[in-house]
Amino acid sequence: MKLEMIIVFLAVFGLSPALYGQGFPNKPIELVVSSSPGGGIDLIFRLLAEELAKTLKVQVNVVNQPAGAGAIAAEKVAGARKDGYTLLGSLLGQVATMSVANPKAPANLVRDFQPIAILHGYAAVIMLGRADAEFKNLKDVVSQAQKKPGDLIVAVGPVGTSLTLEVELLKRAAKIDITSLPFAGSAQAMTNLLGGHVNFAMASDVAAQPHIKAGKLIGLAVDVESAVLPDVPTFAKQGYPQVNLLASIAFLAPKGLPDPTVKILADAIGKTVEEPKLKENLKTRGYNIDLRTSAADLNKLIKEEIDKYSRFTPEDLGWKSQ
Amino acid sequence: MKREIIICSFWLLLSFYLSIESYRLGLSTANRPGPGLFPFIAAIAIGLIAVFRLVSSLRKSSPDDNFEPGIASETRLVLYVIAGMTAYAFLLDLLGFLFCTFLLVAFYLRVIAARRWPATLSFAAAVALASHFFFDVLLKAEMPRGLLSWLI
Amino acid sequence: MDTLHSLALGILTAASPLNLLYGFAGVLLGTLIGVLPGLGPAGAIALLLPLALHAPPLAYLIMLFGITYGAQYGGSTTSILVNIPGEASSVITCLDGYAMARQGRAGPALGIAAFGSFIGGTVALVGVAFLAPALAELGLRFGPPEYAALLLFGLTALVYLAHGPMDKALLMALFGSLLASVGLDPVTGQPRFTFDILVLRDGVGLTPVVIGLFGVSEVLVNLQAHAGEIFQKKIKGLLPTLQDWKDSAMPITRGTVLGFLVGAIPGLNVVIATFAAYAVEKKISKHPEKFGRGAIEGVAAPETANNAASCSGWIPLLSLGLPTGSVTSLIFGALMIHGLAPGPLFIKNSPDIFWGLLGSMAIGNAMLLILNLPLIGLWIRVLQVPYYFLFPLIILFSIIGAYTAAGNTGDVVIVIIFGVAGYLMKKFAYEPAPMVLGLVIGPLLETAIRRSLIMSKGHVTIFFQRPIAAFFMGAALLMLLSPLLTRRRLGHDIIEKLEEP
Repeated sequence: MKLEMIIVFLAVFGLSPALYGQGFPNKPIELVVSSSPGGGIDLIFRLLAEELAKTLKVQVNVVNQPAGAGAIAAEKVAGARKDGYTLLGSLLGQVATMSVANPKAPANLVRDFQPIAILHGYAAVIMLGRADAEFKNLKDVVSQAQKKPGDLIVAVGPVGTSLTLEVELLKRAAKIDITSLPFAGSAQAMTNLLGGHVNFAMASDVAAQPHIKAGKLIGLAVDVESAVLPDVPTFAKQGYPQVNLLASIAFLAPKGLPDPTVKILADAIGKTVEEPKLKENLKTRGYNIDLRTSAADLNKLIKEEIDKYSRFTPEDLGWKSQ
Repeated sequence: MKREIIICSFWLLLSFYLSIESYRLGLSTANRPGPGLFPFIAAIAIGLIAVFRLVSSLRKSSPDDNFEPGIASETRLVLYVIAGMTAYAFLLDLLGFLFCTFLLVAFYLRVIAARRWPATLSFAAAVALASHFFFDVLLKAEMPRGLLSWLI
Repeated sequence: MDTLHSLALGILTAASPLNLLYGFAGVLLGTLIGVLPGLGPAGAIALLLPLALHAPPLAYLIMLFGITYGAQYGGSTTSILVNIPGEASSVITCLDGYAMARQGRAGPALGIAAFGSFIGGTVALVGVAFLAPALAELGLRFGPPEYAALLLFGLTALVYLAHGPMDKALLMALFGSLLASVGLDPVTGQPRFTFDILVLRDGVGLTPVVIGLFGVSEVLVNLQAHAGEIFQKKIKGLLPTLQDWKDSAMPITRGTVLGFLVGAIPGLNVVIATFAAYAVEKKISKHPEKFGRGAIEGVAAPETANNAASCSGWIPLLSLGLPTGSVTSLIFGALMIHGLAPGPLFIKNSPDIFWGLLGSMAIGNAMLLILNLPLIGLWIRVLQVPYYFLFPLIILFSIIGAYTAAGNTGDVVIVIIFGVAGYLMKKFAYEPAPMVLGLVIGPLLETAIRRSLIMSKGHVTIFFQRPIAAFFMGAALLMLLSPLLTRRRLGHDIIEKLEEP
């Protein structure tokens, strides 16, 4: 308890509000991440936050708020003080989805947020087949599906994720009928493909890599060039540029953040991803580092993201209201 | 017996409401079970069991109809505990973990356990500081800081 | 012999001072978060992720593994002491463990839980060493129809094994499965029973429900009696007696086997292993009426089963590279950081890591036993704290546990609701355990059946055409029909089950 008292004293006299007047940032930054600790995009944000703290010389605390498919996290940041000390770390698609599909959503990507930085196409989604099956590329898949509409089964992810929506886009673009079987995520989808219960599976490239190396599975197509599987051609290269829900992650701040603060944060994030050790680490984990921070780029990306998801119904996106 | 009728009516009402709700969710889509089918079956089954229990309790007049004495004072204590928890849940983000914990423990000790003020305050303060140290400092569990955010 | 040799080498690797240190840190932290309700291994591992860049790979992984199985050890502590399951897999331990504590036998209960965990974990480890590749291949053969058939078989077995009237238990299980359907429908993505409340989209979490149902409701019931005795003050022994050991030997053996098998099938919850182990013990016990009133078998079997299951749960990850849950996904991520992508070739390409990890688990289990036994003396002193000081702490830990699980006050509200529900259930003599089972199995069964029917375009025959599925469906039907064949059960047993006692 004594230690506690000392800490309290130090806090009162060492960090009193009088010192807060000096330039940004001078106190810990809260990064609200819209996934559970260790799940989904939490890892990449934690790695970035650790390095960002060194660049900015203040603590960057990751706070996880996975509830409501990211809606709660978005709501929290959208309503926070516009001082740059509360940021949202989220999948851009997640915020775009709720803005497009749910007019009642508590936060809207365009209306409520000031983008700071976007890691464009940060990870690839791959369509997998079995190495011992007759499908070697997208063309084989499409021609088989045309012969037997609805007979081929593809294991996809939860409703509203790019694992699922990209199959919908492929079906529309190629005018084919494949049965989508939803699972909880990449691992479950691949398990069912390996067990021979489905014909194809959608997964993240990193999770799929060891199975391709072991010669059990083959990559049929990826949505964005993969850092770990550079040989697999994209959907676009195989004639389906419409299948393009590239997953991007974004640092977002409440709208109305002063320009100098935006610039400080964006520059710091830019510097962070260039740090050699972090860069190497992100690469081995299969993350693409295509960072955009200029205002023109950010606005264009956000507009594109909104357009991409506007092609779907709220049901497809998992935002049908009850 | 009267008790059994009340409980069974509760289950019946719940079954009735949930089966309507799940019916509205859709029992089947294109020859396959829809989102409402399994909840519908479960809700109907609950209703059937409730009817079964109701009928069998009506048939034999049960002797176990004892209303415990002193239930009123127990209900009062239960309400206090629940009120404390509810207040904690709603004030947590505003007042912060440290302060809320102090208030909750002090409230319980003073009002429910009827301890004297010195014991109440010192124990509550000790618990609040210890749990703050343990969860925030040691485990970095990111409890809300609330009002005292400038301090801790 | 090759396997034994490799395992011995692995133990040697894991016994290097650095690895020992990391291993000890892991199991210590694991025990700690296991004791704290709500705070699970996933959160702790996530906190330690930044360390991954600086620590040597094997030592770091040894620590992460230590956290996960350490948490299984710690999970039973609060179940036994204050009726709050530290982890969901310790729910069933509450039934008899807490009853034992109230009789002054918290020491033996904690002791048998620690020994059972040790034996279950260690034996399962040997099983993993010998059988991992074969079991992994078997696991792959379980597609949606096989899961559906297996779960139906399991449910039939539970009904078959149950004693006494079934109708209330069935009611609770059905209610639990309805509760589990709150949130987005996993198949169509349509919201069910969410009332347009955002936090309900993710469904009702298992953690806040069990904290409310077990921990908070127990406090509410005890309030009136707080002047009197909740716990018998006289402590009867710190460790299990010889009789306790005799009673627990077979339950521990059976719990190990059952837990190992359930854990090896990806996607089945550890909770299922504990319920199954408990049900089996209750059925074959000579004194089933003691279950729920402080039978030591009711602590030994499920606590053994959950450790065995969490050990064999590594099989899909280590031999195939398929993470099956949130914790295994995290470990997958940790392996990735070091460029050790686990996959079908993992054991062949990184034998030092694989066997080193197995070796560390053997050492870690022993460390946990040594760590936990002296703690028993400390824990049972907790029960001697006057209840008016203890109950605010129990409530506080319940709230913190629910809050830290997802960082959301919505979960605290769920704890309150189910605390009151649990209180009413106690007053009206309804058991909460079947509800937890419904909450766990309901959604697994539903999604398995619906996925199967999507695969078969709506034809039910899919459950009978595939060999494994057909086998389990056959076994379930046989069990349902067996009373007719033996003519013994249907006559009085089944009808008796449906009547009030």
